[in-house]
Amino acid sequence: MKKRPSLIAWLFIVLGTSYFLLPLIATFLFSLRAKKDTLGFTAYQRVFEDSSFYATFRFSALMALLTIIASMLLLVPTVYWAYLRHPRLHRLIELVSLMPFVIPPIVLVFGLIKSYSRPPVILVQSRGLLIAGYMVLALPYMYRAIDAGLRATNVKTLTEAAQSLGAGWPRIIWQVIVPNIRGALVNGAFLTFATVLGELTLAQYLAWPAFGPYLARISQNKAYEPAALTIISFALTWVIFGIVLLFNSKDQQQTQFGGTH
Amino acid sequence: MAEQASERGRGAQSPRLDLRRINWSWLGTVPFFLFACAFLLLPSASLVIGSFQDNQGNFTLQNIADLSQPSIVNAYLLSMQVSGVTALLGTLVGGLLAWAMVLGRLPRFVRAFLIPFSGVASNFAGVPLAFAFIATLGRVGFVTVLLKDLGFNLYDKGFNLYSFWGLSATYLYFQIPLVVLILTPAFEALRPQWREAAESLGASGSYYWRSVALPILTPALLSTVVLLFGNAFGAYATAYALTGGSLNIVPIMIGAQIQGDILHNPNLGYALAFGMMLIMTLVLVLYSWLQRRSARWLQ
Amino acid sequence: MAFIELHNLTKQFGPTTVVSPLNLAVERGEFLSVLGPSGCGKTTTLRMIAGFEAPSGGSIKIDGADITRTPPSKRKIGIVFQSYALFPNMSVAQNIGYGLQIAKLSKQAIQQRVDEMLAIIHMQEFANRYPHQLSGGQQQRVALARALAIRPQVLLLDEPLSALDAKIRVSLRQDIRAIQRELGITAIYVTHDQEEALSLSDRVLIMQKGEVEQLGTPAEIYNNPKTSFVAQFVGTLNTLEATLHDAKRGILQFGSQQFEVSDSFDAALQGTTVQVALRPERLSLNGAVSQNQLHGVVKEQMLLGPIVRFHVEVEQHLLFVDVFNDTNVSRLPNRGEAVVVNFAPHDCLVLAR
Repeated sequence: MKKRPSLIAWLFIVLGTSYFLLPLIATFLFSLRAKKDTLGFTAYQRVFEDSSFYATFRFSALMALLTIIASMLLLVPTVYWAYLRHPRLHRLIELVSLMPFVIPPIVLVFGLIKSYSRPPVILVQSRGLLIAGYMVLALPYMYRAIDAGLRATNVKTLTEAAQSLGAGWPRIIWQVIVPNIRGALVNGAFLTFATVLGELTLAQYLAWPAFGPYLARISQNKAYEPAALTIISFALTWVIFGIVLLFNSKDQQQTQFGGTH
Repeated sequence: MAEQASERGRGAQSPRLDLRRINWSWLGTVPFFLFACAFLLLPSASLVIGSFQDNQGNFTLQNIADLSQPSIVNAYLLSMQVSGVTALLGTLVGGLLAWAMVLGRLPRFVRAFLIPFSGVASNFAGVPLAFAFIATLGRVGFVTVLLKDLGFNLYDKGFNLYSFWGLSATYLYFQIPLVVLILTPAFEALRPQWREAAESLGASGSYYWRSVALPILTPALLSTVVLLFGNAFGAYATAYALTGGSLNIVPIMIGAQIQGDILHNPNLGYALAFGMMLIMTLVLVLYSWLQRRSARWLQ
Repeated sequence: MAFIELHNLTKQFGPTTVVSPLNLAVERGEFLSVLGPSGCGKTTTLRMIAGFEAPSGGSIKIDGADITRTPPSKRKIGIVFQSYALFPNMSVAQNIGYGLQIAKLSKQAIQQRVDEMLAIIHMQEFANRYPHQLSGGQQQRVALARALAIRPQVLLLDEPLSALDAKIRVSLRQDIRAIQRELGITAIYVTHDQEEALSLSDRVLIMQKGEVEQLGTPAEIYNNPKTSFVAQFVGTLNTLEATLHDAKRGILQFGSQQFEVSDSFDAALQGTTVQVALRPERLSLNGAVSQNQLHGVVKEQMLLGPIVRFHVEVEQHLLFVDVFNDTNVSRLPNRGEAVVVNFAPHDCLVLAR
């Protein structure tokens, strides 16, 4: 019978929102005070003048890109095959894709260093190991995105239709399957990008000049620049999610969120 | 038509290609499992094995026994406390927000804003998040100074951002939005007809919540608590950036062990990581069990 | 005084009127169906009686007591939803006993009543099952038992069969009617299915766009529809427009042919157009000569089981003619054959609108 908005509901929303906005406002105000007694964008200016800002950002963006490409090359054919030919393997792949949840980044990097820092295989100085680690971090949601995309697509019928028209496997994957799960792939790609870009743990212990360790170093040594960097990263996260939402509203697919902390 | 097409599809792959098809299909999944072995199984297995070895590589249970050192036990306890408190508080606050959003009869823009914001905030972690809280609740943080001007000194009252409650408040920043994202569908799955049926049978609002809505939500709420527990338990970057390693939680301890063998026993370090994996496995098993339960009701 | 009385009951959502002033009296023990297309206001009316929607105006009385402002939990009205709405966290027995528990009956009394209800719906062996272990038809029977367990004054059913398979729909609707008769409870049944409404009810209320079109027994509704909407909504109908050739004797001109109706008209209406409705089963093909006759050509024939429906083109207008599927009685004409359509003047319904 009651159709009025509930006052208590409003109260919760207002309180919740202020908890979320306050740190952002505080950081923003702080970032403006780099010059004594005046408000201004000096801190941002300094950040953008710092060459290691660009260098580390470029490095992390490149790692993210490579992680995305490698993950997709690995996962799309695998999950597709499982759907098509090995329903039982499907369960196993699902289980494996949940494993990174059991192995937090700090444990993962510990294990990677232990396994690959002495003979027979020494990989700790290779970028490949960093990317492999990132692929592990991205695995759960990359898998879920691709799995959801394939589930929404009628894989079997599409494949059989393509086969009946004479298409070979590479052609089926690239021209039939991938376009049909494009939304899911974009979703997974951007989540991976957002995660890898600011990732600290792996990059720090594998000793790479990535954006995450750069942020950590600046926040220990400077006062106002980290505030500016915080605002910049927050804005960046928004941009990335904005793109995901944009794509999803077009493709009518459900957005998934979640990453590593 | 579809059936016809599939008939033809199989026909085109005549029987003599059968053998090749099976080989191909295995090749399709082999890279994935190789990758999983090399970068998931091997690293974790090597830690597990290492935790049962002494320095000479012989089997021992000493490392596991040594986990009972006060400093390690305290680290596990502190980790569990932070995870437990943020999981419970996060589920409570996030649940109330999701309730308000879904059932509070609020205008549509509240939802249109809160869902994407939760997506962003649940991914906003690590160094930037830590710094945002330093700027807010640090010794010269915005809110600290504001409260001081109002005559309330947070730090005199025992609050410290770089301690347990400070870390918990910071973790809640990504925990609460995660709850909003997880519980929104659960609240949406509460059918209005359940409430109406209950009312027509004489139930008051609170009786309906106690007898129907909460029992239905319970598996979802519990699995959220469990997921949040794991989410906080494994978090390293935020804690490191906030406390610089001064707060002795397990991930921080492992990090210190990687850098400088602070335990003076590499194998004890592996056991430390093994314990963490064990707890996370329990969390995952519990989570998927609860998930299945709630899925059964909320189809 | 009637058992349920709706007096000038109205509902507006913003500027749109969903239910125009509605007056209705339902007798004790009566089974009344509210029939209409979706969006006609029938569900809103039901929800106002249940108390889930506040009326914009008017009043609702049950057994003489005004309950217009009574919250739903105090109305003692049982309701069955289209989506069953069983509580998924409770067993069948717990669902049925839910209202009794609220009424604070003793454990024994609850047990007894639940057993009683389980017997009525023939589901004794399902007492400890959970809703997700039951089929749709079983769930809906449990929902019915749950609504009836509290011995409500009125039973409201909101399209209870719409989500079920055709076969179960028929058997369950017979069960619903039998249980309602047995308990002598007053029931209001909302549906968009005319067959359900006609076969179940003591009386049928037909609504369209928030207004009452007709209220009457199923036979009255079917045989004497008051408006063209009712005529077309209930059953299959041929409608044709003809000009009044002889108003007094009721002779109508249809293209180049003429036929007679049993009504007579005011002379002033001479030359105007009237709408005439004919049920397909009242028409016959190539029958006795004494009746009205229209000449036409068979365009199509469709086998509907016990009857065959012919599409006969008469004056560039298709008429449906239903004939018993019994080749012993008469030879059925083929497609393209010229036929004569016969009907009696009193089978013609002259429609008001």
